[in-house]
Amino acid sequence: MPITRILHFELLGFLYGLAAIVAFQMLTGRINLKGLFQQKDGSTQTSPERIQLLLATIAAASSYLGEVAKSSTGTMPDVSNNWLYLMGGSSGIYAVGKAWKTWTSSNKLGGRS
Amino acid sequence: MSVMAQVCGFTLCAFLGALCATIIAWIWMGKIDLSQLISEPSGDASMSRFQLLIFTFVIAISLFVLVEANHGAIPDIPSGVLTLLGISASTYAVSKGISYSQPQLLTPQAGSAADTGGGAAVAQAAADEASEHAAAAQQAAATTQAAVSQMAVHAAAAQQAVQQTAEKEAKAQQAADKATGNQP
Repeated sequence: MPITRILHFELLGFLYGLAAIVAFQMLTGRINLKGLFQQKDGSTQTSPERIQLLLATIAAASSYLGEVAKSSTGTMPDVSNNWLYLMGGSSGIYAVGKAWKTWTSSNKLGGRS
Repeated sequence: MSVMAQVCGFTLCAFLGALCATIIAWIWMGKIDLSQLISEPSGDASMSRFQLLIFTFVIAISLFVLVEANHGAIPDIPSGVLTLLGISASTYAVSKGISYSQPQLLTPQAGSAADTGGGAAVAQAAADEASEHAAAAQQAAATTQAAVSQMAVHAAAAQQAVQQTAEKEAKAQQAADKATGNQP
């Protein structure tokens, strides 16, 4: 077996192993996931922009993995502009929402002190 | 030359394999702690870190899978993929900037610290720090106590010396009176 193939399988195995361990630790609670969907302004309310970002992320990632699985030529499939607009918009909504909540919470704290 | 190249190649393979296996084993055994992998400084999990983690794994695994189909050559990475990773990394950077722009919100909240894994870790760290400070304070108190004891010993010795000097002075006075014939 050529050395390049051995290296390739080593690194692919490492990536799969790392992904599996991270997924396992997330599912068993060893990697902290508390507050993933909650607003960071002190309340325990669920944040809609976080949920839509998670859904968009999972959708884009699974769509891309599907295209990679279908690819038989060995070239990386491109991501269509529609997915890029979706991810850009989704991330933008998340960032703007987070900035708004952070600064309003900060003003409330500043007013109290 | 060809044998030398083969030996170097297999050595590199063995080194990389051992490195990968060690990293995986240490993560599994907990020597490499990933519990705060996607957590913010406040202890809560961050959505932008989670997104960046997912995209990094997806693109990296896709690349390695396609290398096999491309006869061992690394395929070109299309601009759309780079843009997607850029969006994700920018979201992470902006999110981090927003978090650090208000440092008072970075501290863990007392109410959620008790029932969250990250909060528990932060509380444990604070408890460890407090116990370190308590040990240092105890040591300082012991040192002060020893210094006070030493001062008391010195004070007693000084008092004794003063007493002895007074006695000697009285004896000397008595001897002087005796010599001059002045009886008290």
